[in-house]
This record gives sequence, structure tokens and C-alpha cells, in this order.
Amino acid sequence: MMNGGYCEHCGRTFYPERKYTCPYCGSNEMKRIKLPERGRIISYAVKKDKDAVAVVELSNGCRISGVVKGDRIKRDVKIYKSEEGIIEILKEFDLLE
Amino acid sequence: MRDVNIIGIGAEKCGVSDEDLIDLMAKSSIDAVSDAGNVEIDAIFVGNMASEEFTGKKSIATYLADELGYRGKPAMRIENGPASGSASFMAAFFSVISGFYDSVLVTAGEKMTSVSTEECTEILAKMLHPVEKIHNFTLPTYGALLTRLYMNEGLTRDQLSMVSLKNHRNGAKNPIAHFQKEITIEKINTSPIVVDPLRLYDICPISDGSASVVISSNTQKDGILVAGIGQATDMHAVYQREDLTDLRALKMAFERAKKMAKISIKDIDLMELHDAFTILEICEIENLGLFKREEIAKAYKDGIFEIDGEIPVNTSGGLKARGHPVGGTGIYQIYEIVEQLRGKAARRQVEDAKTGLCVNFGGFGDNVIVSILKRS
Ligand SMILES: [Zn+2]
Repeated sequence: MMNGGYCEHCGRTFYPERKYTCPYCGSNEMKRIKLPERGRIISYAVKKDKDAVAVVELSNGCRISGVVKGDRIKRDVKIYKSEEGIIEILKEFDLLE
Repeated sequence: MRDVNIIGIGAEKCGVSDEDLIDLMAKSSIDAVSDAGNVEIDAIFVGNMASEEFTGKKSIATYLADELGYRGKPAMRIENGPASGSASFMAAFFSVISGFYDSVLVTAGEKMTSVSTEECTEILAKMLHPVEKIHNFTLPTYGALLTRLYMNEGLTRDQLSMVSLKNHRNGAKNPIAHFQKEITIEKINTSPIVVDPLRLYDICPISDGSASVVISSNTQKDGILVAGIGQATDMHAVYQREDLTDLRALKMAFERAKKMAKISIKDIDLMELHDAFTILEICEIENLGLFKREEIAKAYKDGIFEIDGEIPVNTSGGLKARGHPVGGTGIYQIYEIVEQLRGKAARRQVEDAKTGLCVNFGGFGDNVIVSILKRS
């Protein structure tokens, strides 16, 4: 499970957590929350000889960026954070479960 | 507040140059000061993004002042990503409108071809948020993400290629453009994929170059009025935006510049937009409120943005064909608009151009400066 920030003022969540202010409204009333593990791909880009990267909207509306693992791009995805802090976007989560 | 005018311009040809950054900057500076009738310069503002990484040199403003023989004159460098040129212009503008200085030189440039393409992409990617960096995002990544969003809504490859086609056609008429050759739709459509769906001809080149302007409280012949200027920021981590196609900072910067210039969008005769990626030109046209998303492809097809069209966009060739010496681009845009408003743009001349606008991005839309210039 990944941590993110939740703004008690505007109710939005964001990744990564921030020390000072909410990126959306500037409030400093924030707390740590667990981010949902599922979301949908907003857009993706495929680099030559490299993993694709994507912007994903998690089921609570939080937007993240990460590296896509697997060979086919699916709209619904599962998120995993590696020990190195890399967010891996697993495309075929239905097969993983 | 008093009027501030652009009274002199100078620019080196964009491209792969044998010359060092300091020589490019010195030459465009000397040309601009000479064009300004050798007016007494009170201070120099230098725009540059990454002389340290590209050339190993810091304190480029001091170096330029010294080379120009300006011993004693104030000089400072301003770094604001690829909007360093416009930021140095803005700072210079504040210094003159406030009455602190009367005439100042603004020189902005970059030497980029001293490193490989891979190293260059790495240097430019330093402007991204650390979370984007660890996922190997680069600026072209965002170009590709944005392009895919438009393509999902029906933008076709041929429609996107209209941007590159037009800008190369304009560049072919611009003696200071990096690329002075027209290209075909076929060539664009079959150019190598860099980051899918971005192809090579969707991306601006890596250019060396320097451009200069002299701005002054003096009014003299050919003076071009700095009518409005506005800046805004947006969230630094671009992926966090609610909608990647909503260029909020551009809208805010444009509102501020427009309010200051007391004009409406209908008064603008031509524009230099920040087409680092072809999709950005389309997205900027939409966010400026010129056309709705679904109308833009037809507008390109109808020639609306051509030199002889209703609202010419990137008559210089834009970043795509004129070139994008990152820290210098903002002043190259102003240079083009001044040439147009003076009626000196030769084969690129827009008929009866009175008011021009420049959009310079300092990142992927997270720091935007809009300038409006008027024939006085
Ligand atoms: Zn908030």
C-alpha cells in the first residue's frame, strides 16, 4: 500500500505526500492516507527499448505517474511501489489475483 | 506608468553553430545596440537556462558585460527554464517602467549542441519534478502523453502534421531559422517514432542561438510598445493536474497581459506560440480561446494560421523550424514580432500587423509568460 497526502480543506488526495501545502488549494491542513491500489490510465507514452510510462487516476481521484509493466496497455490497472520508490503500473491485475 | 518601447533588435541564426555561447551573445547584443542607434545602455539582463551543464560556464552575465566593454554597468542573469528569455525581458521591463533605468539590453541564448542528444534530453529533464524524474519522464514524454489525449478524441496523424508542415514552410522564409526547408506530410508521418505517439517531426530541434533586444523609455522611430506582459505558474508535477489539456497558467498569464494591454483577443494580428511539441501549438490555440478543440483541425486546413491567414501563428517557423535554443527562445519570439510590426519581415510579412503576442513556456506549461507588443 502506498501513502499519499489528503487535504482536510479541499478534500483532495495527492502523491507524493507534501511537507508544507496542498498542491491544489495551498492549505496546510493535511494528513497521511493510504492510496487505493486501483485506477485507470489517463494517458501513456511508449519509449524505444524502455518501459512505457503513464499517468494514472486512482479510484479516489489521486493522480500519479509511473512505469508500466507488461506488454499490453489496459485501461484499468493496479499500482505497486517498489523498494526503490518506483511506482509500477500493473496492467493485467485481473490475472495477478 | 511610462511607456516602454523596444528600440533595437539583434539575433544570430539558430542552428548548429561553431561559436561559443559568449560569442553568440556578444554578436546579437552588438547588433541590437547598433539597431537602437547606440543608445546609452544602463544595464544588461541575460536569459539563459543551463550554461553550466551545456558549456561549463557560470556567471555568463558578468562575462557578457565584460566582453561588450561594459565595465561598471550592472548585469545579471535570469534562469526560468525555457522561459528564461521572457523572464529576463520581464525583469528588464520592470526596471524601465519603474524609472530605475532608462535603456537596458536584454540578451538571451543557449549553446546546446556541445553535448549529445541524450545528454541534452537529460539536462532538459532536470526541470521536471523529482517524482517525474525517478520514473524517467522527460519533456518529450509529456509531449507524447498530451498528443495521445488529443488522438483519443479523434485528432488524426495528418491533422497533427499540419503544425509541422506550416512551421517548416514559414521557417523556409526565415534567414535566421534552424531549418530553412519545406517538408512534406509524408516525411513527417513516416519520421521515426521518438516516444510513441510522438514522431521526430513533432519535436523541436536542439539549437544554438542568441537574440537581443534593447528596451527603453525613449520613443524613437520604429519603436514597438510593450503593451502587456503577464506570467503565471501551475503545479510543478504536471501529472497532478486535473486535466493535462487545460493550460491554466497560460490562461492566467494571457488574462494578465490582456488586461494590462487593454485589448481583446480579436485585436491580436499574429502570434508566436511555444511549439516545443506540435501538439502544444494546438493546445495553446485552444487555451487562448481562439478556437474550440473540435474546430482547430479545420482551421489549420483552411489556412487560418498561415502567414496570409486570419491569425498567423509562428511566422518565424516557431520552435519547430526557427529552433529552440531553450533560454533564448523568448527573445527570438519577441524579435520575430518586432520584425513583423516594423514591416521588415520580408517574405514572412503579415499584412498590416499592428499587435502581436508571444507565449513562452518555462516547463510543460507550469511557468508561462505572455507578452503583447504593439506598433506605436
Ligand atoms: Zn487542498
